[in-house]
Amino acid sequence: MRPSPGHPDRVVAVPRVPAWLVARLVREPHREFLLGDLEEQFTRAAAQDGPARARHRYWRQAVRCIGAARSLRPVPSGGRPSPARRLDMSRVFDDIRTGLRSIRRSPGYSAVSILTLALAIGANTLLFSIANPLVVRPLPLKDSGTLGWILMAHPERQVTRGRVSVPDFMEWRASLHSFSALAGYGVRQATLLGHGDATRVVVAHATADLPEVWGLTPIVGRAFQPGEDAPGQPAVGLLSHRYWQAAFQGDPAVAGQTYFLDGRPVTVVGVMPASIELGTLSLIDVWVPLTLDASAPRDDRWVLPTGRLAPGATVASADAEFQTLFAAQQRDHPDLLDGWTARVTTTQAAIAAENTWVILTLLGIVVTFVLLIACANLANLVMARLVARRQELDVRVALGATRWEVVRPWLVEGLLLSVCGGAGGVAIAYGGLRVINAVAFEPFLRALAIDGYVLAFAAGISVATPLLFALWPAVSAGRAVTSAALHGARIGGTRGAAIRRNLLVGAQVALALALLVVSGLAVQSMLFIRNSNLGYDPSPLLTWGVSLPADRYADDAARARYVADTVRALSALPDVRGAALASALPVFDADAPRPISGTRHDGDTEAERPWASWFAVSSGFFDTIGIPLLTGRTFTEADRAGGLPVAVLGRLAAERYFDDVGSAIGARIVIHDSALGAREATVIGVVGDTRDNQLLHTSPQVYVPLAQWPVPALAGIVRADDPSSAATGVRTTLRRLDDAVAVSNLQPMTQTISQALSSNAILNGLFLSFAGLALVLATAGLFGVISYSVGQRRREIGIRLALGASPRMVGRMVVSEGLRVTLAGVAAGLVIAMALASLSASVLFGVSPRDPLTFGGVTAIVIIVALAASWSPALRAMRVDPARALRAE
Amino acid sequence: MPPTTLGEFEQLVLLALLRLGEDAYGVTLCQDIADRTGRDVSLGSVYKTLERLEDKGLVASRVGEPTAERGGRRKKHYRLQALGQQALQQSLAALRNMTEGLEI
Repeated sequence: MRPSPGHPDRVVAVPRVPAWLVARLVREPHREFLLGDLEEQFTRAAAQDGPARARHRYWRQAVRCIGAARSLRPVPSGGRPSPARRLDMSRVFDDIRTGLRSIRRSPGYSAVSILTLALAIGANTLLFSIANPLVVRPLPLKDSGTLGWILMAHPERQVTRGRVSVPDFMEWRASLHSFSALAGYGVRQATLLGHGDATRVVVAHATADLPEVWGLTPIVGRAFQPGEDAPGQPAVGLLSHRYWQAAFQGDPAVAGQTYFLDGRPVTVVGVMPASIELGTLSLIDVWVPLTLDASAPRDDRWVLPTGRLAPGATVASADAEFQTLFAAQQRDHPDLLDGWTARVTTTQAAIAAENTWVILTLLGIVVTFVLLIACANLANLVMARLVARRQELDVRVALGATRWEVVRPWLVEGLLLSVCGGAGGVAIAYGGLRVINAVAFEPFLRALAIDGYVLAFAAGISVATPLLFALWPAVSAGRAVTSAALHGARIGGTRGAAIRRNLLVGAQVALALALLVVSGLAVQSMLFIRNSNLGYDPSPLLTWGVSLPADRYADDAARARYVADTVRALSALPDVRGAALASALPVFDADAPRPISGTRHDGDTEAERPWASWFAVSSGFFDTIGIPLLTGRTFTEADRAGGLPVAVLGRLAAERYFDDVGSAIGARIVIHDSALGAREATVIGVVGDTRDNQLLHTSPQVYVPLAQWPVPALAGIVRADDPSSAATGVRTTLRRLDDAVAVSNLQPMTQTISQALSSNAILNGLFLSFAGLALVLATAGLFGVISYSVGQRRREIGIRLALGASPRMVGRMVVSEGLRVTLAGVAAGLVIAMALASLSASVLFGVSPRDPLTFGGVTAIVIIVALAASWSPALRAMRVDPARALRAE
Repeated sequence: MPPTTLGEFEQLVLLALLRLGEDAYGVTLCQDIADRTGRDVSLGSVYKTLERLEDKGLVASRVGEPTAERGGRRKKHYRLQALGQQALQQSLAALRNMTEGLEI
């Protein structure tokens, strides 16, 4: 023996990780001897070859030791292993090693499986991260389960989630016992002065108790104090976290500063927490107390009541109490409340529109289908591999392996694959979210991110999917093996296995077809909205918003002067072909319906009373925006305050209320406005209709001259050959006219429209990509199963050919087998598609949920793809050499 | 009792035991086989083989004293048994008989 180079003062330490692994994974008594040997070897090697080589050697020896030494007996003397060992972790460790080896050995299979799983898990994770803030992540509201919300609706006017007026709110707040506290808030825009340029900000007016009801604590300063919402109190305000960061760079010294909101001084007292910035709440810049003024107009509905339910009260019981109160109110104010309904709802119903839930449900179904299709594909692969290894399984079962022992390695291997797939899926979801963040306009979609919940979700499905694609086939094959081994029969070629495979593929085809139909419908309604005729062409238009500060524009004359000056100055710009101002832009801004009377069909009840969306516009408006005049005339500069009050009707209003366009001219109608009162006006013209704000319907419209109805909040519009290059001149001109008037959203109208449609485009993109993924996966599955079945039936095909069948007949047989499965799947898929389409009916526009073109087209695509998938296996079957096929057995 | 047949690695381990005598334990066995055959021998495989040989009664083991070089851990010494020596002789004789007259 060679002398050992003794180094008593060891300077190099044993690598810790492998030593720890050996200590963890090798049982006593072997652990002590092995660790001792390893350390001795290490010391020698360190002295001989240096520490780096020694460490490398230690690692290698340790890893190999763990493998080999794990099968050493746990006790030094003889005796068989205890049965408990079968379940202990060491076996799982062996399975993991075996699994890793088999993954390495079949890289193609592993890559396909991991890719499939990554795509399917990625799709699910992506959707989950979209739904996450709405469904899972605890709402920033304290105990959101015991909050009740009051929403109003007016089905006839397509109002589904309407707000309430301040006096109504105050009455409910005083008399509802189901709420221990009923807070409320409403959102308006205002001009903020005193901090750089005049800016338009979104202001939430909230009752002083709202922060307390929602459980919000400001991160800087204080919340509102009781009584700060009473009329006549000095104004205080809280900044939203986002606005505080963006406009004040997160400077805490902003508390105590005074700014001007629409000319009123407001002292900043604090900053709201960022957690509240969810959905539309993320748009808010400033929070101020809501002035509880009982004399505010009752048809100015803009407050959303949200209250803490009293102990013992539920949303249902609160609604019951509320309905009694509301019915009484309706009797008191029939002119204002006829046609309106109101209800107390849960937080979930209040924070997102019903359509949001419908879309999320649909997308949830879609990604579940994608996952199921992926699992079906993998299950088919696992089944094929099980059949290929039937002899090994037979032997193991014959030697006494239990079913669990046969199945476990497959499950562990599946788990390894799906963990890799899950990691890939998170990466795909991350990429998808980055795309959504980039193209989205809504802050809600822009803020989506992967958080702990998303990761937990991805981990959860990664662990769950192997149960579907590996455990199930392995268990059923294990059963087949156990019985087949006894009967000396073969597995895999059995009828049962073939039926199982065909069932899987049929289900895949069905799911893919259903998904394609639904996404086809979704895309069609997207195209419908995009291509729908607005009533005018938005492309040459540049738009913006202004709000005239009350202190500088106190009376009608001042406002009318601003309008006249602005239109004149803008029209003089060289590249501008027309300029106008309006109270709101048709299509573009939310509709402001007003009751009208004096028509031919005034109706007998309040509910039947005519109404129309109301717009006050400057002269030149119709030419500028491009709404055609059908008959009569439009407004001129002669239609000024003090002149004959005039109005122009939209075509639908003229036809509905005066039977035809021509007979409306000269009629004297009364327009009821809560702020300005009822005013008479003579109809002087009829113009073309435009879509409403949802782009879906056309509503009756009435236009009045802005000079006769001056309003402080205005929308500006300029017609130019190149609206984006005209923007600079328009901005300079507006600033020159009055730099205390804030200009907001000055941009080409087309840009605003695509921003408004961006969420829609994202959802459709998701639908389409998920459905496309489903089709690809299902095609791969069909191809795999048919090729596999051709491979299995080589002998049978050989015999057929030997007995005189022509290759054509064999080919036809294979294709028809694929077609049979496909047609069964198509039939089932059409049923599922019908169900999904009816579910999605409320989010489809301009296309029927039973659209025959979509159903037919998708069915044709699926059948063609299925035929293509069986074509290459059929060719292979036709080329089978009968002699060789028979010899092979 | 039928003569025990030995695998190739088992032969190597038994031969190394024979050469090392009292000083035979994991590290020295590994080293000896590695030095003479040029193979990269892992401790784990040596211990597995020794356990198998011990089961067959060809070798015996005893636990030694802890040393500082091993971080205060004990060695497991192995010794060739009479049965082991017999099996080794038979196995080598068989090999010699098979190779007689062959030029390899």
